[in-house]
Amino acid sequence: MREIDAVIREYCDQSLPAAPAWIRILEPRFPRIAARLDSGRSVRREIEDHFRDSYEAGLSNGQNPDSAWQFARDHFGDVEHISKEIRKARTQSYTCLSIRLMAIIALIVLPLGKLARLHPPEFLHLPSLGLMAASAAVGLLITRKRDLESLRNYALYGSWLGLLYGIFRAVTVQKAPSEIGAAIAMILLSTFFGLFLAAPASRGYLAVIMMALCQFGVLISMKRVGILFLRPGVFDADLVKTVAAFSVVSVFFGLVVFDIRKLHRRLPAVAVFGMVFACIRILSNLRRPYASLIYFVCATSIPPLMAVLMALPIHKLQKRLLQKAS
Amino acid sequence: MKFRKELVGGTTATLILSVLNSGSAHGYEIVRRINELSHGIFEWQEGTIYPALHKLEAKELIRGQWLEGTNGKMRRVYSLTDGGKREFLSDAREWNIYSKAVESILEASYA
Repeated sequence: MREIDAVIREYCDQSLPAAPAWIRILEPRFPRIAARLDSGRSVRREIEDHFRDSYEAGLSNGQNPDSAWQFARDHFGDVEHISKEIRKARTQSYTCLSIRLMAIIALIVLPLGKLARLHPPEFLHLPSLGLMAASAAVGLLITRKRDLESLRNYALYGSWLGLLYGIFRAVTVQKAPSEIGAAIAMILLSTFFGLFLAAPASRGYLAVIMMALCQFGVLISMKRVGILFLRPGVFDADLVKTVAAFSVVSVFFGLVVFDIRKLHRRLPAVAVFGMVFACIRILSNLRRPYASLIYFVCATSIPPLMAVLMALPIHKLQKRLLQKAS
Repeated sequence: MKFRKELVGGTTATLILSVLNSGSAHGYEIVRRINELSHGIFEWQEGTIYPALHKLEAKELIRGQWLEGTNGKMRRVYSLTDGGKREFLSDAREWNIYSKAVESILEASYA
């Protein structure tokens, strides 16, 4: 009998569906991208490993190579079942990829106004990221747990520390705009990284408490520096437009970052993006009407709620689209 | 022994979660452990484990990662997520109550 790896590869070539032509073109030059885009490849590698294990188990039971290979195939069952699975996974992946591309185009093309434009550098904040990284490192050293889930949990503790430290600074530092500004950045970005990177799928009250504390910290800071006014009568068209734009950006951003299949499980991440994005954009374009307490609270609290409410019907749409695709 | 499709289908996810609750494993190992722990009563068509694993992964109850095995080769290894652990505990509790109830009804019918 020929070498088993070649036999298995040949069998899988014959039985499992081949990758689409454009993946085969992409593969020699960009193997990693091709592997990432073709969900069927990972399944095929798993099946090959399975056949090898099963074959080796047959050999160790005293079978000869031919009957061990026969044993592996018989025990595996219907390969057509897996072929269907691969075809379905591929179609779903391409549907989701095209939805992501459409969301990117929508974010670029939609005229949502200057205020709702994305500026990625505004989300870069090394102190809060550093605190999370340090917290993850300490957690790793203490518990020796290296899995991603544990590291994310430890990083979340770091973001809590950053948020509480930011609030503490906002309450205690001098009323200088630069000092308060640094505290606001710490509050906002610690909350953002905590819920977006460390706990995007958190359940329960964690996200709500964190976002409420963040909102509280920002309002206290604004009040201390004297840029927040209790002024009624700001429910105008401008507020509605701003809220709508922030909400739409949050949902499209969620669609770009998270797969449409996962969006409904990433509601805390989508909501926190909506809130922090609104806060950053308003604070960096602070003009008098935005500095009204009601305006600020509405413009920063409604977008996360709207984003969550929009993400839920998208989940239903996604179910239909994927059913249709497969 | 061959079991009815509905009976097997209803418990496949719980059995996989149960095996992964005692440690990470790759597809073949999961099938082997289930066959071993059931003392040969469950004889699965091994290929059916993969669609089940991928469904659980899509629900984020388990996580699949390509890790280096003992022989230096990369293997796709599955482990439980926090959500998977919660799901397993709830499934196990539900199954215990359900199976005890079925058992007591059957025992009563023999008496």
